Amino acid sequence: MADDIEASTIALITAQTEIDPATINDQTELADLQIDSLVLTEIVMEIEDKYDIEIDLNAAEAWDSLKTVGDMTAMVKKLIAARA
Amino acid sequence: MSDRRVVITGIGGICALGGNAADIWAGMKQGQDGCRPLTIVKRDLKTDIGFSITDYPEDDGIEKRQGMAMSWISRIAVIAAREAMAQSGLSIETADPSRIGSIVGVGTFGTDALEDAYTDIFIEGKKRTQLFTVPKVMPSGPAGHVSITLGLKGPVYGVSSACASGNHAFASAVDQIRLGRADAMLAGGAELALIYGPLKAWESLRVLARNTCRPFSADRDGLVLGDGAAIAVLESYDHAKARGAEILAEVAGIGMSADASDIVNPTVEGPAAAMRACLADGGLSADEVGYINAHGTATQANDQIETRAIRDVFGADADAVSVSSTKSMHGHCLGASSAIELIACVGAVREGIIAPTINYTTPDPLCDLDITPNEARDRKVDVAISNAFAFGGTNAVVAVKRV
Repeated sequence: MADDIEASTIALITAQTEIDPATINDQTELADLQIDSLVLTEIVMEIEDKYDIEIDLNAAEAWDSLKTVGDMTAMVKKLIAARA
Repeated sequence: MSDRRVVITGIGGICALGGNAADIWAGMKQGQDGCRPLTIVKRDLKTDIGFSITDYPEDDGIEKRQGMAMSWISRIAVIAAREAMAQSGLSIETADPSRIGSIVGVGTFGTDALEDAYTDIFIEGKKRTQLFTVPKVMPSGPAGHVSITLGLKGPVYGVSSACASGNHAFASAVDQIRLGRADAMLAGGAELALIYGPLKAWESLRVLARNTCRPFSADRDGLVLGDGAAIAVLESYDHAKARGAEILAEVAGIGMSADASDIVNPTVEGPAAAMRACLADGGLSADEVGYINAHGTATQANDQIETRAIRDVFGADADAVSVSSTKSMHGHCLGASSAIELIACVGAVREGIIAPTINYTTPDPLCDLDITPNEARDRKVDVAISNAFAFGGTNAVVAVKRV
């Protein structure tokens, strides 16, 4: 499940940004992927829909707290665990 | 540029702070917070606060036949316009109606009517929308209804630039007068934001505050939407003088610019260029400006960028100017915001009182201007400017001065 979340989170990021998933890992900085706060918000919403979770972040806070791909997958995992 | 001077001879408004401009100004001076729980049917909305109008008159005096084809956005525009017209003493019995027009800025349109139409069709399964959905929805509806109500036959149209619409309406109206096309213009803005569909859309953008609107405070977390309208009577100085009207203030300058950058992320350069253009238009120097009514939406991005833009334009004078965001009290009424904020600017130059930025708790080093925290302040103001920097990167700044 955990790896699945990682892969599908990366898939959602790449779908928004047209970046080759093979070039992305946990340490990849979102800023390096040309993701700005609004693209990030769009990705957060896609993740919410996919996992039926609610991420309570406004656009600015998401940008401040989520710096890397790993930050995103960690947050998603935490919320899914909380839901279960 | 024409040297035709333009003055303000009346101003009316309705928003969360009150049902007329005097009450709105009194609320601003007291630091009144118009934010309250939403009273609309919320369905699945997460947002539960807004700056709603509670002082709508029991009998709004709008004729039944006209009212059947009106969105609430037009009703509040008409209420504000009637108040402004009455204060100005202007009358189509004594003035030529073809020389008086109306320009009302809207960020959106008759959102209530579109929502009713979708509800009727998609939820209620009705076969048709209400008869007057088209004229209710159109963004020029408020300007048209102001003209119909007051009998104004000069230039009448709507303008739209999202959250700067009110100031762009003032700019357009000033142009009509400077160009000699009109002697007076009823100009301002109107907005109905507290409607399910628009609120749902704003929620998606994730820029709405959770609890309250705290411009420039480090703990700010977004804007809070509001309903409202404000309309001013702008009039050529000669026309106002000739009929012995009381002049509330003079429109000292207009500045416009565009970021040409991003549809939602602001730049420093665009807003700075609009403020510079406004000062240049009025032949004003930065040290003459005593008050800036900030755009001050309470999003992280706006308030930082606006601070930098003000510092860029005002240089060493930036620390001496009083700044405030009255959106902390009347909310972000989108297209109506800058029109409502003109009430604060006119009040500042007339009474020497700076309306505060309320709900301020924590200094933000990136918003280090004198933002008049929490309490109004006495200060003689010769010139006040009103900033409006919108989505789309469309910026408009209006300066007023004491006459």
